[in-house]
Amino acid sequence: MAAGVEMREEAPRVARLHAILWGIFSLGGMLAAFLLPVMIYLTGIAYPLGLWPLNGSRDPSFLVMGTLLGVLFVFVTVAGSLFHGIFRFQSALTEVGLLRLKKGLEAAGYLIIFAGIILLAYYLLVLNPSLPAL
Amino acid sequence: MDTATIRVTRYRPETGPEPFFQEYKVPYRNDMVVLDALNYIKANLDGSLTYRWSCRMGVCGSCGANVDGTPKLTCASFLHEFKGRTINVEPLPNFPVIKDLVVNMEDFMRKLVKIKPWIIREKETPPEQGEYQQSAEELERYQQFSSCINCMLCYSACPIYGLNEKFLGPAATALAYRYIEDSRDQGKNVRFPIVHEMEGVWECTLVGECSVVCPKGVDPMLAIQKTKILGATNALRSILMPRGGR
Ligand code: SF4
Ligand code: FES
Repeated sequence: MAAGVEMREEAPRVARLHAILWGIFSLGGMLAAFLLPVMIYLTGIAYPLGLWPLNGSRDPSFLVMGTLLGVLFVFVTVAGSLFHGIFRFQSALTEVGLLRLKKGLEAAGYLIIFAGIILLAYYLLVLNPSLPAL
Repeated sequence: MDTATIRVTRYRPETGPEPFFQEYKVPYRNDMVVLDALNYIKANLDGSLTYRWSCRMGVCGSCGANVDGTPKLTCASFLHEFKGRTINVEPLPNFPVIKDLVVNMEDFMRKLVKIKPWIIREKETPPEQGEYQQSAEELERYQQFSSCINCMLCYSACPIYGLNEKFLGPAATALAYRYIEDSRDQGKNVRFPIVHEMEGVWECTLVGECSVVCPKGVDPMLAIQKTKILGATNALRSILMPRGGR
């Protein structure tokens, strides 16, 4: 080993909260990758073009109307994608050299995620015109 | 014989504060590499040119430089690959330069020591009791990460290390993971806090250039991701099982 290398180190501090947030981020990424295409297909392609499973009279609003599973599907897809997207966006900003603003960017990012998830839950559980019986 | 034009960064703090380029013409054969050109310059054109090298065969990891804009081993970069172009040879980015192509490796050395790159046992058994045995599958789990030659190309390619030198970085994490995955090692509790610090693996934003430039086929990005997964599961376990989890 090179001579003169300073060996004194501070005791390491495990970033436990960040580890959990990263876990949610990667789970959100998986959900975004698997569920978001399904949602885009149903609402953006199948419905306007009358393709399976929305051929006939079915309208994609059934996703949030009438079934708890539908509400859960929309919540998990949108919240997971939002969490993943904002977290990734923070990383991209770090990569382009905004490291000094990191703490501020992180705070803003988590605020957007938190507000987005609350708004989404409010829409699905309160404003939803035909809230399924809980 | 063809002739290559080599533009080398010169930095001589004793004569001037700014680095500058110096151009040399080097005759070469098809089997010659950039390191051969540097040796030719030193032997025949300019004895003051300063750079590191040792093995000339991609083993010692000392001859790294930024060749044509990419971190490479100069002993593994053939001159004919750049035919017709001026070849820029610069010091590895992201490290302080000491002289010409020689960079200061202290930060990297400190990180290597920090992750404790040796097998840790809770209790050593005397040699008479035989070796610690390992199956082929157990070896497979960490083998690629043990091929690192400490050339630091991955640190030069990493934009996050360029922004924050406290980041533990690719090779040190790959090496830590190599021991974490080694069935003979019992030092997880010692290494986890080091790799799971904020400036351990969590600074990595998955750029992936470390794995692209590695000349030994090590995939430090994979080691970092796997270490993150271990960190996230440990953190979750410590919340769900505060007494038993780590
Ligand atoms: S991981 Fe690869 S690029 Fe990085 S120091 Fe080791 S051998 Fe060099
Ligand atoms: S001289 Fe040893 S790796 Fe290039």
